[in-house]
Amino acid sequence: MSRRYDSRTTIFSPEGRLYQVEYALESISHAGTVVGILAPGPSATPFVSAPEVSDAMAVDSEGAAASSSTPAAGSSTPAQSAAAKKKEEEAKAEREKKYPGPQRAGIVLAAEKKVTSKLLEKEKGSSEKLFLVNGNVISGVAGYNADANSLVSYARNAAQSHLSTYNEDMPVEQLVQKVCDLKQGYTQFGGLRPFGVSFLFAGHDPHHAFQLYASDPSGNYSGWKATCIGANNSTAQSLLRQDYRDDIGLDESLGLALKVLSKTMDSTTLDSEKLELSTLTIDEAGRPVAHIFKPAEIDALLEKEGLKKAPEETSA
Amino acid sequence: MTSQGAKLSNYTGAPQQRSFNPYSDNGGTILAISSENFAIVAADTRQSEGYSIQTRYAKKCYQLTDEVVMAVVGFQADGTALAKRVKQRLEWYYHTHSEVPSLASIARMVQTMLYGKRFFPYYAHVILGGIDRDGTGAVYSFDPVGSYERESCRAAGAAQSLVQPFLDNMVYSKNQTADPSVAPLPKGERPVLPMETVLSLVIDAFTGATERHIEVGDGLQIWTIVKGEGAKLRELPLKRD
Amino acid sequence: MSIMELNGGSCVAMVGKGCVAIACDLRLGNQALTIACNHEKVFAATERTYYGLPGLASDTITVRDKLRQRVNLYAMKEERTIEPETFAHLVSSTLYERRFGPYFIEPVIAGINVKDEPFIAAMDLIGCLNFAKDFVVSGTASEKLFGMAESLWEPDLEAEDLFETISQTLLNAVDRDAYSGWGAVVWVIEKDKVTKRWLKARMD
Repeated sequence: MSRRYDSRTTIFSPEGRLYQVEYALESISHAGTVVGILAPGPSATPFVSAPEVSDAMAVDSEGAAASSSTPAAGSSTPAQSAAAKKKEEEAKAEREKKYPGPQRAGIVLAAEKKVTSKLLEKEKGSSEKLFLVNGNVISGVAGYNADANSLVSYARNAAQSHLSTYNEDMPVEQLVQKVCDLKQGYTQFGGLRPFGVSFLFAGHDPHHAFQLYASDPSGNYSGWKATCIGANNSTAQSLLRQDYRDDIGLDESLGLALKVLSKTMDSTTLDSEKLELSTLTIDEAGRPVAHIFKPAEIDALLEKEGLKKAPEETSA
Repeated sequence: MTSQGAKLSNYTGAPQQRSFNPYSDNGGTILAISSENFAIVAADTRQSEGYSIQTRYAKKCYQLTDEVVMAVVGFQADGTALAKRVKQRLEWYYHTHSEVPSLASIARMVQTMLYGKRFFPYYAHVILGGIDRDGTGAVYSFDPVGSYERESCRAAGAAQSLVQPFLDNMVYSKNQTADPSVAPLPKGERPVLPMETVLSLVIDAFTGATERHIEVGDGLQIWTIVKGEGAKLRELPLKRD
Repeated sequence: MSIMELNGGSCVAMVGKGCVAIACDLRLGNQALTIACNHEKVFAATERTYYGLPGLASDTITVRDKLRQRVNLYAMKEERTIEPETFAHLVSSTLYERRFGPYFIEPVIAGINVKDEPFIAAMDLIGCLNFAKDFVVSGTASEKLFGMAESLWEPDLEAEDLFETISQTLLNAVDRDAYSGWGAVVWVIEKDKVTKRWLKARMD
């Protein structure tokens, strides 16, 4: 009789589950997809995808750390290696043709906007799924927008009071932890429902440079090189695993994020009506610069990547 | 109180202090500027106490001799009393020596008179302007107890803090880089300015002070003392609000 | 001993033709003793809105940080930079929050708004606004600044002339104020350019 445990967020079921939290997670898995990709730039240590490790992209994962110490080519036969090497070189040449010039470091956040009705007015602000949380942090949300607004506002205030106390931008992980502490509280202290929101936080600080975090309604968070929350996130996750490289640049990451979204979204069209996009980079002085793309910029980029699917003229 | 009881109960035997303040501040501003062969002494004509205007035509300048004018600001009663005594002393001097003293001598006399009341001072700031014995325009300024010095310009009174920096800037050319085509003023030399310039400085200073200080306004009296031509008074209106 | 005069310092702002200027001295003192002469009191709120906070030095810093916090939150929530007029009200309400235990500063604000119009304002320590059309002054040399500005300022000064006017106003005023001086900084804000200049001043 799970119903006895359904209505209480703070009570474990006999199977050791918190149903309300799981329901919140379920609701998020229907929300618009948000993809985050960290482009460490040319100086990054090599990353090798290890299919046997399920979450190889998790930065903290020991599996990823261990696998990265053994070059992938080393474990395969010389013949395979030669072919693979040739193939890899071809791919590299193609990439360099498509994304010429020095590769910038940074983080990309891309979000799918679910358009529920064509009568719905667009939000007046620049975005409804991507938010500037602080000068050095942007976030993408999946789940209940109302809950997200309240949490974003909380995060902004937390970041600003840190700035005002220490005259320094709040370290990214500290900010993520602060938001997650609040979320966690609602899974433990009685009578309230948890926040129905998952976040991606993309940030930069002097301690750990670029960082990408994902958090869920339970208050768990983890650091990633590339990840995804919301609908179809397992499909997106495996697409990312396939195409992510440790020397990926920002421009390529933008393309990858759009590609992933174009494949996971069930919509027939793909344009700025359905998408939001933002980047976090650093300027010459090493200060973080957040940029939330304008609709025109998104459309231009989709055009460039050859992913634009214009809405068809609907027959009356 | 008529009731005997109340009177008795009020009497505690403890000493009670009464006080009388012999001074008051009647506002107003005076200034004087001197140049090569002339001096200008100016004062507004407002006299006030607190927020009320007692008169819009109060003289603060007194002609002492043909070539010396004295301006006084502070407590009006002390100012007029001082001016009256200074004039009296000058008359006695004339009767005794059949001549008027020089500006430098009058200045020293004013200092003795002010210091003479060192422990019950005239609440008055005095500025003397005129032609000195060497034929140059001169300004002497005093504090209420007689400290004095010869200067080229001085403002005193309610709007002193508004006017003095302006005079520093315009008369002494403070904070202005010298025109390289003009030979710099030798050290110790006093600035030389034409009469029209000084007059417009005085008017600007007073219109500015009138704009921002409630105790300054109504009218402006400008005494011009030119070497060999004696002293002349001109009067201009100032804002009356 | 007045808390407003403990550390000394002064600010002035002026309107020009399509430009504004704001300036401050650099003294930080403890009553008559000068502690430092690099104490700037003018800060940027946005790219074209600047403000000066003369008064108690610790409150200058505290209010500056508090305003930065509020301006950042405004920028994130409204997704635009704050206008100088709005910023003036933000400062005013921030001060009035402490109506009965005020920050001992008297702010001066200068900026150019979205219509490229110059804007200046000043307020007292509890946020009573003064939207002047010509110039505003504040600090221990405020009376002297009033006297200087009233006689030097004129309407429609071009940026360079406005710079000269505000510089002369500030320098000659602080030279007659024992609590201000020891160097000065002038900002001239035009619609597409902001210039910061350090003035050579009397150091006594």
